[in-house]
Amino acid sequence: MPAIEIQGLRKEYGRVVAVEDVSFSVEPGELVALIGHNGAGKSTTIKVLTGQLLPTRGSVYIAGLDVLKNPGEARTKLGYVPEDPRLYDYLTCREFLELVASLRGHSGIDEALALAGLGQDADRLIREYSQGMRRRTALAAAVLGRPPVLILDEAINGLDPPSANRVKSGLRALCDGGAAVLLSTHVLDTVERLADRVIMLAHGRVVADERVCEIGEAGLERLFLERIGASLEQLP
Amino acid sequence: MSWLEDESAVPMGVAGLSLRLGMLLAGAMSIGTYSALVRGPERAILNPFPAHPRGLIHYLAMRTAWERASLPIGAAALLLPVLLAGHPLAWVLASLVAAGGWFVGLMAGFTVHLGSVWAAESAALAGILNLIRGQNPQLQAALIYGPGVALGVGTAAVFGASEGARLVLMGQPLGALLLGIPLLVGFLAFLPAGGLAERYHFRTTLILAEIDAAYAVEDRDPEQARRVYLEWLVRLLPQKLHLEFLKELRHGWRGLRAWLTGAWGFGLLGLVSAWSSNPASWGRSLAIALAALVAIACVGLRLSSTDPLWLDQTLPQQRRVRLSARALAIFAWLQGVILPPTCVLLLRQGGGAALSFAGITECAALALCIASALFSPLRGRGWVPYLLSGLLLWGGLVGGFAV
Repeated sequence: MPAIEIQGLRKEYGRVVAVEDVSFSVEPGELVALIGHNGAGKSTTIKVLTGQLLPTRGSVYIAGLDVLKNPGEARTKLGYVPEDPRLYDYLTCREFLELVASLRGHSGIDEALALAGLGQDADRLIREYSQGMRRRTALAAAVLGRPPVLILDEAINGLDPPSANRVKSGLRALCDGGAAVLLSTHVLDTVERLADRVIMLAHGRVVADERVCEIGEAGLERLFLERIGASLEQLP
Repeated sequence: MSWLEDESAVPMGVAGLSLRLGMLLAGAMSIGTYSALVRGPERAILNPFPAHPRGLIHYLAMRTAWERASLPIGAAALLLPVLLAGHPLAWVLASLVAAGGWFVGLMAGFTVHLGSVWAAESAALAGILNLIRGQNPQLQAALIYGPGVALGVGTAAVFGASEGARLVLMGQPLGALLLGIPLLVGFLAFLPAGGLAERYHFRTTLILAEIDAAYAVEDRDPEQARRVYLEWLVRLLPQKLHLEFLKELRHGWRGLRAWLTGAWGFGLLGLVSAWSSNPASWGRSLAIALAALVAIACVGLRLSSTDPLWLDQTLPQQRRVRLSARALAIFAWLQGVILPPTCVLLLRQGGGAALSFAGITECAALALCIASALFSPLRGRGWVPYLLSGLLLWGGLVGGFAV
């Protein structure tokens, strides 16, 4: 059973079609990168996957659960880091994670703090945190209890290099432990080093779904420019 | 409150005053519960996690009660003239009725707002919602009218309680039973909230995303993007105010549309209240309109919370022009509260009643929009002086003219 499954997803905003006939799946233990130009439909796809947006058509499953029919249960299987995570500024990071742990019914706070590299700052108030630290706090909350599915929307962007490396190693370890990770990013270097597979979106459609190891010497950037650039040139 | 000097008029006076105060508090709580449940910060923070909707509703109810505990205390303070006039029992009863409005608004609010999500998606109600949605997306229509429904439930309960207060003061102790109506209605109304939360808490997030997307699409339409509510007023103002005034109109219309259309909702409430040839309806409408003006004029403070602070700090802003533009925009938005009841008073009670109503409310609107604009640079710290001045103004004018 795929950890993430999208079939025939279409989302319209009035007359604007944000995504059209998007289908893909992510298997347990796989780290898949979702890339595309601005406005390609990455955020819409992720919002539908995480139960924040109604699809116009299509079906979405997380760990076999229909996200729209079982939103609460689907969230127990899902760790999600939004692009702009909102947090309780008046709590410390540890207190926030304790709250999330109680919601998930799991412990493992220290493990999550270690993955996010926040161990030393765990008892500071979140309002004193930098943007990068806030993003790492959201990441720690997402991995608490080791959910089988992780969806990260631009979660590694903006992290300093040591933190980014620690997070990448942590994500790889989670995948090796059987978790499925879907990572939306603009950083092609991260995709090349970290992802097993890359899905490219352009104008709301999947234009490439390739294993990174099979992309070859030409590299991801060239593939990106070929597929997405060509798609952009077709615009009126 | 001239009735305080006439012993026989006290029961009726207390009933009328406590009914209005109770309605005001029920209205404030119905909006407060909307802010906490529908558009509150919890939704964005807890959305990625498997929050327990039933527990969350109980927590939000307790937090909203705590955050707004000052309202019934403030109401009791506003009623102090009754105590000082030598009517301690009347003061206690009126305070209880007002607190009842606060309680029923709190408890019914959560159920009504969760029910609004059901209504938003109901095929049976789609036609009605489409008729009354104005320029809003259809899904938003049900959410907009939610606070009004909660206020309606609260008003019915408070009316019963105020009648109870009147009967007790007339020497009928059994009237005390009626004082419990808001408690009973509140508890009964809250009973389905947990079950509704299980079904609709996560659904609300989806509905809100659809609503926001619908607004965003509307704003991308080049025709629509150029139009905002009351934009034509720019032409009537001096040139140096044009840019800032237009910015305020756009900020309000695109950021706080529900509040601006809510002014007309309150205007409609005032219209219904004024639709009578009984001179007492004038005072009732005035109390409602003044309360609505206090509530809606606070948009100035809400606008300031989304003003880009860094621009203030880095660019030479023309503070006076900016605050003047904000005050004028608020004044224009407040007309929705004033115009409908004024027109009805003109029809039903003649020019004198309409003119005095319009005169008092326009002066109040002017004072409130200046206060809101002046306190808006204080951001979060501006709420206390604004609400204090608003309450004083409301209490003073209602006490002086309406009662």
